[in-house]
Amino acid sequence: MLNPVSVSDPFQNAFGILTQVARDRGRVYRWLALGFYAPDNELVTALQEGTLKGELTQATAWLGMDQRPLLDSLDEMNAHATASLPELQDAYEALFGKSVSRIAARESAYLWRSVTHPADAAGELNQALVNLYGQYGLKPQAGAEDSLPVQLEFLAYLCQLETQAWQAGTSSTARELRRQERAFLTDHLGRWLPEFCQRVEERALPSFYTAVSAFAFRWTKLEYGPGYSSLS
Amino acid sequence: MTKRLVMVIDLQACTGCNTCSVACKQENNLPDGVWWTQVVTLGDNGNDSPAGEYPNLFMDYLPLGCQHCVNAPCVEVCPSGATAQTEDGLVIQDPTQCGGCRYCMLVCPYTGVRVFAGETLRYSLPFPTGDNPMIHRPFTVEKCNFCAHRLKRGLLPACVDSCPMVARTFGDLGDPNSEVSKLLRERPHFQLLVENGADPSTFYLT
Repeated sequence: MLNPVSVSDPFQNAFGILTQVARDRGRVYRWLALGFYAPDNELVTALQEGTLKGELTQATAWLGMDQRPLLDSLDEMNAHATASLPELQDAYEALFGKSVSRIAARESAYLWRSVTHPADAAGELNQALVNLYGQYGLKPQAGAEDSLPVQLEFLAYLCQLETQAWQAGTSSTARELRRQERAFLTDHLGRWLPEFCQRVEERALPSFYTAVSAFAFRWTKLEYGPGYSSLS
Repeated sequence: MTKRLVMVIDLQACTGCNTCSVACKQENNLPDGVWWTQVVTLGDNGNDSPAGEYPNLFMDYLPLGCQHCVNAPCVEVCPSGATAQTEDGLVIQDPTQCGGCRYCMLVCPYTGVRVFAGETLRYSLPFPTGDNPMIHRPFTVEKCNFCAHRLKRGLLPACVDSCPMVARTFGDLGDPNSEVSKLLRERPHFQLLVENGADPSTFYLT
């Protein structure tokens, strides 16, 4: 007698795979956010103990062959694993601190490319971001709405919601969230991150921040898909 | 019965010549390194490598492309609508809609039937080939569309038309008098990975 083939539900399998992928993508955005906040002991520990490299390697493994460029950036990042907190603070301050030649890590600083009156547009931008975050019940610190780590954390949060939606099998919600993530890259982060990363690459001596911004550029390029702007 | 377009591939007839792969590449103007259909060697590792020890060698061929599943997980998860199913069962992929998220690739039960087009698309010939008007875009996912553009003109998919061994048959499984229905009634056959429940529309005659 033949044993009947046990047939699984192809959609449930798919949702299981994407639950993990959305979770991994969220982890990448969360670690990147940590990398771009002012350095603290959590970052130093993650660097020294190899957690940062390990987590980002694991969380991007689903990319298969296309993970390679990211691994190169992780190796560069890991070359600074022994950096102390004061060293990281110095490097952070030199790049993003209050000097005349600082590189702005916020979207409003790059508005001059697309608007005639950047000062007016900055206010509108921040209000639009506050409204957008508010739709998801989030309220960032006033004045930080358009900053790089906050935008990365917002994407991490959307990925978290997407993870929950795949897990619950609500694919239409999960697809909508994935579209929202992409729309946020198109409307905000993806518009200015390439220029920001290029400035960091051009300006800085090799440091943790050159490596983390190279990773951010490569990762966002993969996330954005077709049409991502490359200034180099 | 509902129209369901399927591909039937006779593994007894297939000689692994890869004419189907080349015809597909030409018809769809596929960039270098992009293949929508390939012939996999069942034997040792590598193309045309038999398994076993002489004189007891074994080698077979398995033409492989998108299986156009009825319960296609790729369609269910695509956030941009680039992957869609037509009423007659084709699973089509439109690179102009594709956001490059690769979710379709990740959930596809079959490895290697989709290709993620790289950053730079290169072509061996300085002019486009074939009749598929599709524009290939970097950072998008591509796959076999069963030559939907040819079907609209009453033609068969390029791989079917070009097979010198007439190993491929294409038609409507919903029509009991179609060639594919007859073949599947008369010949033993299988579908790949039925246990996944995707119900593929590619059948292999043994």
